[in-house]
Amino acid sequence: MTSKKKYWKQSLLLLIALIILVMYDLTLGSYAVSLQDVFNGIFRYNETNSEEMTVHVFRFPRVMTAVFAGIALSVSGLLMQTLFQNPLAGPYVLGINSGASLLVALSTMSSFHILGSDVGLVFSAMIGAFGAGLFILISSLYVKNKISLLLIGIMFGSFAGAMVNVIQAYADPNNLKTFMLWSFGSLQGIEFEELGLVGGLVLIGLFASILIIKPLNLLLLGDNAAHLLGINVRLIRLFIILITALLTGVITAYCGPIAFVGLVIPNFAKMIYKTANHYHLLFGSALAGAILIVACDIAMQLLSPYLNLPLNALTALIGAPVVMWIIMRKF
Amino acid sequence: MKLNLIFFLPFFFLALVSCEEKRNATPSHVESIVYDTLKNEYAKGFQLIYSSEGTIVNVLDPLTGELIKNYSIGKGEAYNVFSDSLHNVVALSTTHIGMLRKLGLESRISGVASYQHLCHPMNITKVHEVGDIGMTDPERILKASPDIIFYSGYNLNAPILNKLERVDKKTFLIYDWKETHPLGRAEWLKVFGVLFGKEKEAHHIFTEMKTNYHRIVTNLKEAKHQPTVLAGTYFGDVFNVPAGDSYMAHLLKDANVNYVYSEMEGVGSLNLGLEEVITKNLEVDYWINVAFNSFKDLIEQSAKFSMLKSVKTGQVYTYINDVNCFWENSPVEPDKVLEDFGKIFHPELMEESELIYYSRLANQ
Amino acid sequence: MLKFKDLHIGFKGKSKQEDTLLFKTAHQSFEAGDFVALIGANGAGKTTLFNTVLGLHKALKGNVLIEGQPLKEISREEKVKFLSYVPSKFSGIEHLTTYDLIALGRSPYTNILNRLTENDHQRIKEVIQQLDLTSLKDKDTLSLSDGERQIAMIGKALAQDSKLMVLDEPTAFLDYNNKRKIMYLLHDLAKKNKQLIFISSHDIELCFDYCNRIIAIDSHAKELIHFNTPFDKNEVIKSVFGG
Repeated sequence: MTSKKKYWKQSLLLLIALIILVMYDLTLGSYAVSLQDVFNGIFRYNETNSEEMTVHVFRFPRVMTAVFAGIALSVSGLLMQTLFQNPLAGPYVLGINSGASLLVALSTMSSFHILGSDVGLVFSAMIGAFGAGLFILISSLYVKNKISLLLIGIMFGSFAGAMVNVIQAYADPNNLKTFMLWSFGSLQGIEFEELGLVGGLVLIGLFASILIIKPLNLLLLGDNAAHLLGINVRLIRLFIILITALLTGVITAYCGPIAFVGLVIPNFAKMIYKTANHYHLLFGSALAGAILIVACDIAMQLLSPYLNLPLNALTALIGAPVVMWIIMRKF
Repeated sequence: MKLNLIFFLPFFFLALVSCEEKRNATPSHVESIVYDTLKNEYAKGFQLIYSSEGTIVNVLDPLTGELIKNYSIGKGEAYNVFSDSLHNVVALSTTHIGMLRKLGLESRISGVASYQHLCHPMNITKVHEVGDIGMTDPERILKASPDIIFYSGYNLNAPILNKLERVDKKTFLIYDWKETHPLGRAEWLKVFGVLFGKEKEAHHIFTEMKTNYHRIVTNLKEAKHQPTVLAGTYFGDVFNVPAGDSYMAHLLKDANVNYVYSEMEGVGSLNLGLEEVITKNLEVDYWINVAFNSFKDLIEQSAKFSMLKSVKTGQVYTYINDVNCFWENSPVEPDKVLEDFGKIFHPELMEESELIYYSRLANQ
Repeated sequence: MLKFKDLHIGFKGKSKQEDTLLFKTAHQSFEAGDFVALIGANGAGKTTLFNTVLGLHKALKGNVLIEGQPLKEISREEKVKFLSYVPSKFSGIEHLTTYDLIALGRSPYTNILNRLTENDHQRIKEVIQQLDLTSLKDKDTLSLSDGERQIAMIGKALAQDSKLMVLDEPTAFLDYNNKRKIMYLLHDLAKKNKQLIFISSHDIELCFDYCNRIIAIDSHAKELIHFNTPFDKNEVIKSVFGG
């Protein structure tokens, strides 16, 4: 496609911005920490030093979770928007998050356990995300109109949400609290030792998305046109759902459902890169997504002496007006 | 126009004069009644004013002293008159049930908010489940044919209160939960005593409990060592801890321990960040009032809790295993809670070791 | 190059008896350089035949053969070298320039990351030149006119370097001037690029003017009737609409 240099330049700028924000965020918390302590806490960890301990146990995992969540959710959103050819599609809107929530709710709050341990929770979330995705996919075979499909996703999300409420009403109060914490969205749920697993899964998802850049570009022309350009549309659809389930499932499992990121960021990336080529949009979305959540975390840290806003509140506060603006521009 | 004015003027004058007369008439009537306000020992949320006409109960905001509600109980022609015998009682908060039980009036309860929160199961044919005050369905309350409805006033303007008043149902605000002194909260038993004609019993029970409470306080003062204590739950990515002037903080102070947030101002709870609470309380001896009953569940909520000494040494206690009875009875039995604290924090000073409301977290 | 052999076009029902036959043809053959128009009344089965030729729909019986090979035996990856497709309407894609759109036609030849080689760029430039799109090459497809968009789509099909170009009612959404422009262009391409161009159309008059072959669906007889240029217009129209 056309001149790639400017796209790489933009991505580089975003990357630099992300690095700066990450470093700043690492110094924020209940007390200020120097950059030297940040460095030591991550690379030359000395347990007895309390600043380093804070960085190692609390800050670094928190900020890296923000980065991983940003990447995972925005890439999922981009894939969903291309698959459904709708700028309002996103893992949250289409009920993929809700599917994950429902399974997590079932496994934490009812006698329907899949696996009791932490791995069980992640697994439940991924199965839930995948199940929801499959449901949407199967619906897409019966529904011609892409807008109808979007509505089905929204309805599914509402239904799953209502089921979760029912489960909550009958849950043991102990388990209920676990679930409720989760539903506010938190970046503090991943420990240092688990960062490798989560980061690894997110990178696998990103890498898999890179592998289907060409089909993604061709899907823009519509299913028939893509098919006639050699794409196995059915297989690619399934692949997209799998990747989305993986990315959304992992993040939803550890951080709770985070709204709006998957919806807003891909649109934002398209706006600033001004290309339809997923080669650049993927990286652009991933970087912009990470920047958004890290920025939200910075805001939460700075506000915390005065106001304790849960993560979901911030993403909604920023996301909803942006979504409204997108709709007004496009429709 | 002018004609109309002249026509109305005499009537206007007449009205003024008659008002004047009435005003001149009242002073002599008022002077004849003697009001005697009972001085509370600890409670700031109510005032009992005795007179020959009956008793006036004023419900105040304990923090500001502002008068919220007033009720007249007795023979006079005042608006809020309660019948002599209150047979059917709807108690919308479980603390009311605890107080009624203390006065042996449990059998009069005809309606509770929810069966789920009861300490002891009640006869469901006799006792109706009427829902929370937030539910705008007065019919469920009417099914219990209440002579009086006790409510807590978390929302003083709940629309259902108006509806109930319109069908002439008597509501009564119990503001005990706003008291920050443990004995002040228990003292509300006296209000129930006045309502049900059991002032003497209420006074007696309160005094006994108060004496026991002070006995324990004095005993615990003997402790050579004040352990450090953290209290609170992690919920919605926010750590909720009782502030320094709150009910729980008072209890802890009376238990002769070092509550880590005793210096932080406030009568309610504080919202703190996870990082702050953990990094500042790594070496704290005890952690109470968690939301789980096992260490496994606690750590599942956040693995970071295992960094705390209190978790490592297994010194985490909660009332969650007895949560309904705790909420129902502890307000009127703060001495029992204090006793539990004594057994937890200064076991060497206590005769028995079996806890009443609290329990240590299970290992599984 | 393109052959229909004992081709029965229609819809499969639950059983053989319930199959709906729209029309059949014993034999039709088309060569490179032909500009063929498929005409028929509404509902006669133009779209169904098209979808069958594109391999999106199964024939009830018989075969479509491309270069001697039955279509059903050609894999999806192979098919792209034979067939290219232009839809009747393209509304444009935001941020997709004309150049980018035509470049998408090179997808069958690019690697997994859709990287374009010098060769690809060369071919795209040739297509742009041939279609006189140079001034529009960096314009967003969303901001092109309907006619320009249609030409750009044809450009994408051209860049695919396929032997057969299939266009579904290419002039349906265009104004009269653009209709003629497109038909002339297709006529020109068939000749110059030695391609087989296959369109369906309701604009029968234009087909008479520019196509060299017409196949008409006689829904009454359920047969496909073939006409060569010069066309006896009355005969053609009668075969489709009767009377």
